[in-house]
Amino acid sequence: MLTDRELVLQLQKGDLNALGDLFDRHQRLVFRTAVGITGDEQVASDLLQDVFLRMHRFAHHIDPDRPLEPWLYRTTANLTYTWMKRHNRWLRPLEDVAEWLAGSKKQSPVYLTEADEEWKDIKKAIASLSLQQRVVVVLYYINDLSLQEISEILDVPVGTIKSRLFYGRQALKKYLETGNKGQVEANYEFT
Amino acid sequence: MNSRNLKDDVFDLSLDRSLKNWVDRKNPPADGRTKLLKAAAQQNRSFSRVKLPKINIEWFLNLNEIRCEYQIRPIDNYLFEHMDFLKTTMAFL
Repeated sequence: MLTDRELVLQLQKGDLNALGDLFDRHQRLVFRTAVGITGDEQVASDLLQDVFLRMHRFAHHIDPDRPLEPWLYRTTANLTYTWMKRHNRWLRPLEDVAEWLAGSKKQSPVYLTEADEEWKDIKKAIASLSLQQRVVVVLYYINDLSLQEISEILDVPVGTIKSRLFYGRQALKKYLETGNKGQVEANYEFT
Repeated sequence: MNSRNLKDDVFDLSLDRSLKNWVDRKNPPADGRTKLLKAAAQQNRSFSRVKLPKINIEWFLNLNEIRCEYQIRPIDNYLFEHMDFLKTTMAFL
């Protein structure tokens, strides 16, 4: 099996199969991160494509001698930031309307299982965070990255990452433990 | 990049597990690779369609006759002296 380094070198020579192999190897990492931040499977699928198309387009800028994961995390976070900033304004109200319209159906036990309710709460709790806190929380909990690694990926001081994680965790705790559903207080950025 | 963090708080552990379980239920589309390679091949084609201009247009200001002249030449014959001349002229103007 070829290493990431060998595949990147092949990709730099224009080998599309190398791109396919890198996709097979790393797609879950990118997809999980994008799902965690956006909370939307379809959007995460589109971002997954965008990240690897960017890898293809800018293959010559990737240093094959360095690990590929930080590049993938960074690109996923950047593309997700861009997507969220573009779509957040209208997506949330539309989601609320859709939820309201489907309200009666969702109350029915046929459509609602205990697990669904739990995932819905998790998704809403994550969505209640600011985008910057959300990215840090996802990288820390879902991807098991250390504060130092997150700091290097996002190119932000460790202290700032620590602060975002602290306030993000506090907000999640409050949301999930007090059952503060639907009434999310504003999250202020301290750093 | 697999270093574990110390998540010793009960809430932390519960949050860690819940978030992982939540994303584990989601799967990337099965046709992702096919779609990607198709889009990448298309990207390749669109790159190759972008062509550099084959001509170089140079403007000269004829101060004696107070008029502009221009010259069009194939890019193959392009010389750096021409660029220097243009820069000098523009700077003068």
